Amino acid sequence: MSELDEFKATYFEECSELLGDLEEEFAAIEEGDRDTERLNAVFRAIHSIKGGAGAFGFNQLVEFAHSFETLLDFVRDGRVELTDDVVTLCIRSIDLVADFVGAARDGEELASDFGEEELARFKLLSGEDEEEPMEEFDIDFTPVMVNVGDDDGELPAVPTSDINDETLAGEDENDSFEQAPLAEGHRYWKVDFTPHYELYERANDPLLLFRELGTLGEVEVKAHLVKTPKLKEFDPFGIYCKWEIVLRNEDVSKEDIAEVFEFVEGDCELSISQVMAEADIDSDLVGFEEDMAPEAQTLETQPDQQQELQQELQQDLQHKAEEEAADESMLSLADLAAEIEPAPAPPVREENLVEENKPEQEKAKKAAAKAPAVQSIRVDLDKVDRVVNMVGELVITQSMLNQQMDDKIKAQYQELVRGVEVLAQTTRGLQDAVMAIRAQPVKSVFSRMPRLVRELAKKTDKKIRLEMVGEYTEIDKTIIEQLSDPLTHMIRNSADHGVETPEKRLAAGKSETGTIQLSAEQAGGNIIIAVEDDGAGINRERVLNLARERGVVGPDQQLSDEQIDELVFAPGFSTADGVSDISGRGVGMDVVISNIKKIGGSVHVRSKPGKGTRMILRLPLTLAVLDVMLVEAGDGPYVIPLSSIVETMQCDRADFGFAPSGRRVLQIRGEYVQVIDLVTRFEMTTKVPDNKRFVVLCEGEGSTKVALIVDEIIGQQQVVIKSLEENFERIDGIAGGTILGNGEVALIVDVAGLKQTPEQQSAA
Amino acid sequence: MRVLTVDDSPTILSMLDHALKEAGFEVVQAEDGQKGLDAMKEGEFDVVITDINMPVMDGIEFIKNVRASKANQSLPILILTTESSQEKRDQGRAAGGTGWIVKPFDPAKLISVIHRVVY
Amino acid sequence: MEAFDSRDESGQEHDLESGNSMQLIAFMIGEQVYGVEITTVREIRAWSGATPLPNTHDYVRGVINLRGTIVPIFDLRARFGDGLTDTTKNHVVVVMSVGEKWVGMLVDAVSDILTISKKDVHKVPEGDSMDSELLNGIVTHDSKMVGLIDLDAIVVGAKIEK
Repeated sequence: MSELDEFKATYFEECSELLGDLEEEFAAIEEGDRDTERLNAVFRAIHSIKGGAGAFGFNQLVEFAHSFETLLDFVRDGRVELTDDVVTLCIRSIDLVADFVGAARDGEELASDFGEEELARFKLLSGEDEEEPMEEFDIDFTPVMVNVGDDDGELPAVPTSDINDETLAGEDENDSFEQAPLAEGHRYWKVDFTPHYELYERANDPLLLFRELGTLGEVEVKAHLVKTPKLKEFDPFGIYCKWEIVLRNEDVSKEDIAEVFEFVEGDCELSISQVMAEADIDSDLVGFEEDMAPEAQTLETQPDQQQELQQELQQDLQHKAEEEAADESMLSLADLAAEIEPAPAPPVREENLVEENKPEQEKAKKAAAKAPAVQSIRVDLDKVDRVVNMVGELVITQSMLNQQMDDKIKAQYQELVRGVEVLAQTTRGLQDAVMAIRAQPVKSVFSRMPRLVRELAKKTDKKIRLEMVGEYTEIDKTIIEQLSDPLTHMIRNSADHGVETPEKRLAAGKSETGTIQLSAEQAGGNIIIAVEDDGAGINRERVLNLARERGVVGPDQQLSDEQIDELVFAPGFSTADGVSDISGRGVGMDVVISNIKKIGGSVHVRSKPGKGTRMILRLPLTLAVLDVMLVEAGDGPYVIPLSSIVETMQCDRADFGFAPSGRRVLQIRGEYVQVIDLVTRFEMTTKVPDNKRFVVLCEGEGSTKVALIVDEIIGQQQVVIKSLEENFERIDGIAGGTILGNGEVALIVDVAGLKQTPEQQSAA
Repeated sequence: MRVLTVDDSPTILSMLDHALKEAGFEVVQAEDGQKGLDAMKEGEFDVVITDINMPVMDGIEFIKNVRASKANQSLPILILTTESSQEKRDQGRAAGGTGWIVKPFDPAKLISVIHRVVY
Repeated sequence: MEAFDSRDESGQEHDLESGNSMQLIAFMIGEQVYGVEITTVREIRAWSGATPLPNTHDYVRGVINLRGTIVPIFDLRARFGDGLTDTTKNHVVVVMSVGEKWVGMLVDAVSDILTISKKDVHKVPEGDSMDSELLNGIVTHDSKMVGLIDLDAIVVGAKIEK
């Protein structure tokens, strides 16, 4: 990935977060919450989106976001009233911003009139004329013309001397200003610069300005002491100087020079003028002399007393050195004075200082406690995954160690046992901590749904309200990424087939507006995500008829209500009478469901006629580590996810029978359960006699059970899931592999994949 | 040279980070003014670059807070701005901002602006 | 092992650089010598068993753990239709990369590193059932015929489709 691409990736990630925030803020605003902080937050979000878009040259997005931002700015300061209409416009505009962002991400160009209507409304609301210009860098520089020299004009003209002028910058250390060979007719720039006190208050520094001027051409800088105070009156930030700068580069424009002084505009007196070398040189010098500090006068009056002059210089330098020293000491003295003011005659100053500082620190601490500043860093997911993987391996090594400890060892090495116990605890803690790093609130997916519901409501002419519960429930990032498609499908399904039209709802004695509730909660090692609507419920008769029509269900096959409901997820099945342009496109529900199953999740549906439908997505908290039962079948070790195991029993205690089809079934608590012998299913052989083998009763989806027969149950442990597809290919009935404590590979049984589909069942 | 960058946009932070590190600066990032102040308690900086529009504590407040401490009186603070109006820039300067950087910034320009305010 | 170091033979190195020659890892299955380009070989390790994979052909001996990743092992003898290798700890797994994937080949022994000239590679005679399917070519080295293995062909279709 190139740097630019990386920045872009960061930007798009930021955008999706910001868009989510915008959704949320406007949902609250729509509910009537007009908190200024909300308005500030939406303004900032749009502003940030615009800022990044500008950096990458996403011009369409910049333009739209800019107008949107302007409107929000007006709304924020009350110039535009936040009516329901404006809120609706804003919400709609968020969707458009999302589209612009999406187009930018995919490198697509949207139609030039995309969002035109909204854009026009922004402009109308904000007032076309008042719209702030897009140009960012408008240097509108008006130099303050100061006739340098006039203020101190009472000084008589004197010849320039090296002594009282300090050459502060420029390559030329000698003050050769007047000797500079200037060709006749040459022009140079003359800059007169007198800083104000404020210039230092904003931490600007003349020296740096001179240095930058030096990058434009040859410069000569002269400082003129205006007034030098006595040491005790000396203010380290005081202004005792002004400068004259000559820049010898004709090719430089006035704007170039002005730009150097850009930051100190208003904090200084500045004049930039171009002068002819030949014509100006004398008068210019006169000008300089007029500026001379009082010291110059002394020089003038005693021009031939070289010795005194030397002394004068000496003193001057000394004075300067003192000033410089004062500069530093004054600063710290001032600090100290401020800090220790109330302390009368402190015996030990430093101690006292510390004492006095304490309340400050406490205050700071309190402030910190008030606003918990959560520090965060962005880390590449790959890096986190490496840690997750290693922790996974650690967990497994630890459980392997545990298994190796037989009773004899336990009795003999108690310290070792304790050590292993501590290791186990620490490892667990480490694992939780690492998982927490990968965990993210489901909000990032949930926040995309309000827009979907709005669009669906519009397209289906229904009134739908979306309620979200538990959006801060955290779940592994990888799983979150897999959630978007299924949630979209489920919500589409609810909006399309669940919620009725307003007329039908009214006729049924319901409120006009239908509700879809999207909720997330953690239940044990799982996350339960539910989409529930208060619609008409699944029309079982129609579903069953369609299923028979399409051959999903055999003509004579009888299904329970639950089984009919589950048909909604069956491959090649859609309940839509006519293919609506919402549910009918893209990946089918069955594909989505099979993706969910791949990551160890399951989907159920429950429906009450006339009352509504509830679709439940059950997902593992994490994908990285799996609690499993280790078993043996044929000649290999297998592991079965613990989450799908109901119970285990020895075969000689199990009640087997035969179904009318001749298939073996397990009868348990009045239920007949399909039996799958792992050994025969996987075409292996075993020497273990039937009655010594084990039944592992598992629950597939839709609470249908399946009884797996294995040779031996070894025990429970945690494993790290390894992909089989990385170096091979996917095998039916195998969800992947894992590496056991002894380095051997065990295969993970895919319980749902082993089970035969109703189709296969009916064919049998 | 240590630079503190304060911006709520990860994009801008990462672009600043890259440009500044390329130029040999040491960079510390903060996501809002409050975190900026926290960072300043932890270490010293040669220059601060801050956004204006930020949650929790905005750039203006941040600059005022920084300048309130005597030790930071001559610390150069550059304001990140996309504002075309003088308004924000002036507010930032009134609070004690040394100069400004206009977003989107060109890395070379960024560095030259920094050199205009830091030795 | 006389050909172990190609630079012993004058002119070979030059050929190598000019791209007219290639180096092979040669291994034995029974008396037959096979070779793969040396650049594809990642690792050579002793056979230490594999976890069998269901629903795959016999010649897929299973999977092994190679430093935390799962790598499938193909029994080359079985792949060429000569029945399963009766494995001992003296048997060798040659791990090589095929495209993005790493796979292990179970062979009897690694015999040599050969430098051959590309122009000496001959086509596999048609109709020779397995060989024509699984070999890229044949080259003669020290009067022995070396079959150049087509790794992609070996790996494809290992799963039994139902």
